[in-house]
Amino acid sequence: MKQTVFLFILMLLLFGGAGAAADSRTFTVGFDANFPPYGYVEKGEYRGFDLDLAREVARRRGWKIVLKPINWEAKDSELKSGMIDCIWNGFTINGREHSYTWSDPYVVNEQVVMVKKDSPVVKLTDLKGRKVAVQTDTPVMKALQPGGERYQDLGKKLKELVIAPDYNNAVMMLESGSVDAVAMDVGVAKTKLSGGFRLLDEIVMKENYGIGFRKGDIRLRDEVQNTLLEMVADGSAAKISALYFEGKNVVAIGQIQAIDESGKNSESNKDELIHTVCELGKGLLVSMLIFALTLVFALPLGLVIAAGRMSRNFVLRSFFKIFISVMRGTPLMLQLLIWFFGPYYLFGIQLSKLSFCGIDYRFIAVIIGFSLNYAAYFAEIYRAGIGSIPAGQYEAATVLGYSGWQTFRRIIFPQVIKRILPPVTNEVITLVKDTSLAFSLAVLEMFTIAKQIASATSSMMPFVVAGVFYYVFNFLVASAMAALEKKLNYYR
Amino acid sequence: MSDMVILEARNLVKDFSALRAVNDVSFALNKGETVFIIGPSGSGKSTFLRCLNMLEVPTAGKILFHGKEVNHCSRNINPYRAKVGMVFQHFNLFPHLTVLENITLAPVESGLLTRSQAREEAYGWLKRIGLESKAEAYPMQLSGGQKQRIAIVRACAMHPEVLLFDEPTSALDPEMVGEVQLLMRELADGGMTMAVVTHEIGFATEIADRMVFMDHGQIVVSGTPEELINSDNVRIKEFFDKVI
Repeated sequence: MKQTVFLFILMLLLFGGAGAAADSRTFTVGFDANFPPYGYVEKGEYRGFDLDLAREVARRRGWKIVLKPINWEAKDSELKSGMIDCIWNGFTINGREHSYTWSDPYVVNEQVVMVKKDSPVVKLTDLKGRKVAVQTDTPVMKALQPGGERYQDLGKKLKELVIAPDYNNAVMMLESGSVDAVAMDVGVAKTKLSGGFRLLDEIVMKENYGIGFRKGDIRLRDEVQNTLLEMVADGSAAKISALYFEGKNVVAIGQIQAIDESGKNSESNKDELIHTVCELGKGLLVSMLIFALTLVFALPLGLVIAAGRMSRNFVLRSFFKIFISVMRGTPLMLQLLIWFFGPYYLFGIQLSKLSFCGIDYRFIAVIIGFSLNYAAYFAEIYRAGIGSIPAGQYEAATVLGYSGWQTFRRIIFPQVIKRILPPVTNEVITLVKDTSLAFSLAVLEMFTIAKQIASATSSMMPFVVAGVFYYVFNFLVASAMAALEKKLNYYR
Repeated sequence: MSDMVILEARNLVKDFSALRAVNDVSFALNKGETVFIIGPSGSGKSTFLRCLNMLEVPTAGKILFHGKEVNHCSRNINPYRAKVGMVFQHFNLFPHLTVLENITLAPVESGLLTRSQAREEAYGWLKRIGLESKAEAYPMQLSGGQKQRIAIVRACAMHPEVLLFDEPTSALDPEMVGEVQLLMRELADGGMTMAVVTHEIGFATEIADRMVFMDHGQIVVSGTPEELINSDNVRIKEFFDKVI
C-alpha cells in the first residue's frame, strides 16, 4: 500500500515537473547578492540594476526567471554544472576573456579607491606604505597582486594588500581603521559613500562589464543579447538604469569596443601544479600556526572554564554556563567578526592602533576567536571526563589525606586525560578544517589561497590539492592521537 | 588492650533528605581494640563508619579524636583523615598507578616519608603479604583478593592510628575472602585499632574484641561476641537466624 502511494507521488512529481517545464523555459541568473546596485537584497527581495535587466529580458522572451544568489568563488562550478545559465552581476570581462562566452560589454566600469573623509590620501601615489583592502577574486585584486598589471606602479608600494571575503567586510575594515583604503567598483562604492567616505579622483583601472555564459553556449548568448539590444533601442534599458544610477544611463552596449578574442592567455598550464602546491604550502603554514596556537591556548583554558562550570558558586557557575552556551550556540565565523570589529564598533578603538609586538590585530583576533570557541567545547569534554571518574577514586584519595588540588592533579586528571582522548581527537580534527574560517578576517590560510587560485585558473585542481593537504595533516594528527591513546592503554 | 579512647562519636546524626540514616549514635573506640559493626542492610552501619572519617558530614553530633573535636567547620580535616585509614568494599585502587605508586604516593605527597623511606616500607609490606613481585604491576593485573590486600597496605602506609573497613570482603569471590581476612587478623593481632563493618558474622565473632549491632540507624546492643550471640533481643536473634 505504502509503495503504491509512493509510486503515485513519484509519478505526479515526474509528470507534473515535465509539464511545467514544457510550458515555459526557465532562465537561471547567478549573482552575488552583496553587490549593490547591480544585485542585492532589500526588504527580503532581490533587487538591482542587472537583475531588473535580466527580469525584463526574461519577460520579453516569455521565460520563467530564477534568480540564484551564488557563492562568488563557486561561480565557475555553478555555471559549468548547469545550475545557472549565466552570471549577470557587474561581471568584469577583463582578465576573464577566455573563460566564458561573453555578451558584448554593456557597461564601462571604473575601479576606484575609497577612503575616509578625513583621510590624508588624495592621489593614488599617497597610498604608498598603506594598507588597501579589495574583495577576493575581483579584477582589481588581480591588478594589485604581485604579477598583476598595475603591480609595478601601485601594488608594489602598498604596505599590505588585504583580501576581504566581500565588499561589506572590506568597508567595515575601512570604517574600523583596519585598512586605509578600499579599491572597488565605482558603482558599489557610490552606494557606500554615506558612511563618511570619499573617492579619489584618480581611478585604478577601467573595465567592461558583460554577461558571462557557459563557454560555447552561443545560442543563449545571442537570444539574451538581441533582447537586450531591443531594450536599449526602445529606451527601457535607460529607464532601468535611471532607477539605480541617479537618473543616468550607464548602458552603453554597442558603443564599447568589442572584446579582442585573440588576446593573450593569462595563465600557462605548464607549471600550474607546482605553482599551486607551493602557494598552498605557504597557506598550510598559516593554517598550522592557527591550529597550534589555538590548541596551546584552548586546552588549558578549557580546563579553567570546566572548573568554573562545575563550581559550587552559583554566580561563577552560571557565568560559565552562559559563556559555553553562547560559544557553542553561535557560528565561529560570527565570533571572529565580533572579536575583530568589536573593539571599534563597541569602543571606538582604531584597529590600526591595535597591534602587539608587531603582530597584526587581524591574526590576534583569529587566535582569540578560535581559542575561546574551542575552549568552550573542550570545557564540556573535560566536564564529562571529570564526571565519569567514579566517586570511589575521590573517596580513596580523600581518606589518604590528599588535598583537593593533590587529588585532582595526581589521581583524577591523569585518568580524565585517558577517557577524553577520543572526543578531544574529534575536536582537534575539526579544528584543522575550521582554520579555513580565518578567511572571514582576511587571513590568508590554505583554503583561501586554494579558492583564489581556483578562480584565477577556472580549475578544480587547487581544491583537490588542498583536500589532499588537509587529509594528510589530519591523518598525522589522528595518528599522533592514536599513538597517545595506545600509550595510555597500560591501565583500564 | 588499654582502655584509652582514641576515636569517639557523640550523639551522631546523619540525614539524607527525609531519611535519617544514623540516629543519635554514641560510640567509643579504644586503642588497640577491634570492633565489628553488624546489622541488617540499610541499618546505617556503613553511613556511620563513613561519618567517623567525615566522608559523610554528620548532620549533628560530635566526632572526637584523642578528645579533640574534628567536625568543627574551621578545622582542616586532612591531617585527621591521614590518621584514620579506610578500606573500601570496591578497593578503589588508583588504576593509572602501579602497586608501588599506589602505596607510596600518599606518604610522599603528604611529607610523612621521603621517597626512599616510603619505597622501603612498601617493599616490606609487599614481602609480608607475598606480593613483592607485583610491585610494578597495575591494579588491572591483580585478582580481587590481591587488590584488597594492596588497598589495606596502602592505608597502612600512612601510619594510621585507626583503620576503618567498609565491608572489605563483600565484593570478593569466596576463595579470595580468606587471604584478606588473614591480613586483617594479623593487623588486629599486631595491635591496630580497627572498626569493621561486615556481613561475615563468623569471622567477626572470631577476632572481634567487641561487636556492635545496629538497626534503624541506632546501636541496639554493644558487647563481646558471646554476649551478642546469646542476646535475648528479638531483632538480634532474628538477624542471626537469617545470616548464620
